Amino acid sequence: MLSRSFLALILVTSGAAAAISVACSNGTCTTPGGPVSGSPDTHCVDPDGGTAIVNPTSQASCHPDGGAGADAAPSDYGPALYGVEGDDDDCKYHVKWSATTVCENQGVVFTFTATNKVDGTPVTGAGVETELFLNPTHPAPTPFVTSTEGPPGTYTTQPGRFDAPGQWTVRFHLFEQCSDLLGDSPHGHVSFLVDVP
Amino acid sequence: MKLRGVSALSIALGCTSGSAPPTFGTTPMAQLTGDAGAVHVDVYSAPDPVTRGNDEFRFVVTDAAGAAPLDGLTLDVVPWMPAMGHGTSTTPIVTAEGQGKYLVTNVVIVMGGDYQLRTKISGAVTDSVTVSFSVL
Repeated sequence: MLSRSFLALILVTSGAAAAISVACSNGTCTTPGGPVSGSPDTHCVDPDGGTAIVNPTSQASCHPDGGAGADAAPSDYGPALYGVEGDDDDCKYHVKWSATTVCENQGVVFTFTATNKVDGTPVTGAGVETELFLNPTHPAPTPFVTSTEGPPGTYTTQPGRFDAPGQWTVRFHLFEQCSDLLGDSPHGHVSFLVDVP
Repeated sequence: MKLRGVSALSIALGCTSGSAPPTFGTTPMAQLTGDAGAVHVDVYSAPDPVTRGNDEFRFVVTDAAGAAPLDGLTLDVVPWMPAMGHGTSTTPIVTAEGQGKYLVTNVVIVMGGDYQLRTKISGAVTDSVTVSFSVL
């Protein structure tokens, strides 16, 4: 027969485990979130003629000679995009993304693919880093996650965690170690909106 | 009673997001004179050296002689990557701590490289400083 104190220990331990489970919510949620629907991305379409804006890149412009200490022209990140595909801020790459189930406080893995807009070839060796933030004063607990590449041009991230409900921004950084001093630098970013229930 | 204490500890350990108060060293990462010569600023970072992630800084602002701490100032801190032409996605939060100390939190460094904290100081004095550092 179990002693009273042992039963109490079991009860309290079970309660603690349940509390941890609820608080950390590592399971699925009833209504998962995901990409935010909205107007398709057209920032790389010439508003006058409707032709596509396509900017080539060159690895030679990653670390230009004499670039050390120089200042690049100021540029913002561009607006976060709706949906699951679009072009980077400089119209160098076309990208698509998907994610595992999006729930608050659950590890979410992103799959990101990028192709060169010039010729449609996979963007390889970009070392994609993925940044998550709800707003400028609320980054994710782990503000960025790294990724591994495979097959070429496809990047799978480590799990990121959204620690609050709301409309988050997921920003993918490509070739982040390259300077952006020259116009054809491979350096680039693209952001998407994600709803977290 | 004892068992309840163990449960609370377990819950805390299970869900902590690891936001311990910053610990600054005793040696500043930068000692700067304001561009206008009105202030002296010692800057400390946690961690030191600065790493990728969520970093924190303490600015200790004194008069130009480095003698009298200056309170009641407004510090506008903008992280900047000169070679990229952009800053960071998040906005630093500045909290006055008294005795000339200003805590700067929410500086999120995603990528390695050369950074600046472009800082405008206003209030009883007007000045600016640029804190430069590299992140591996």
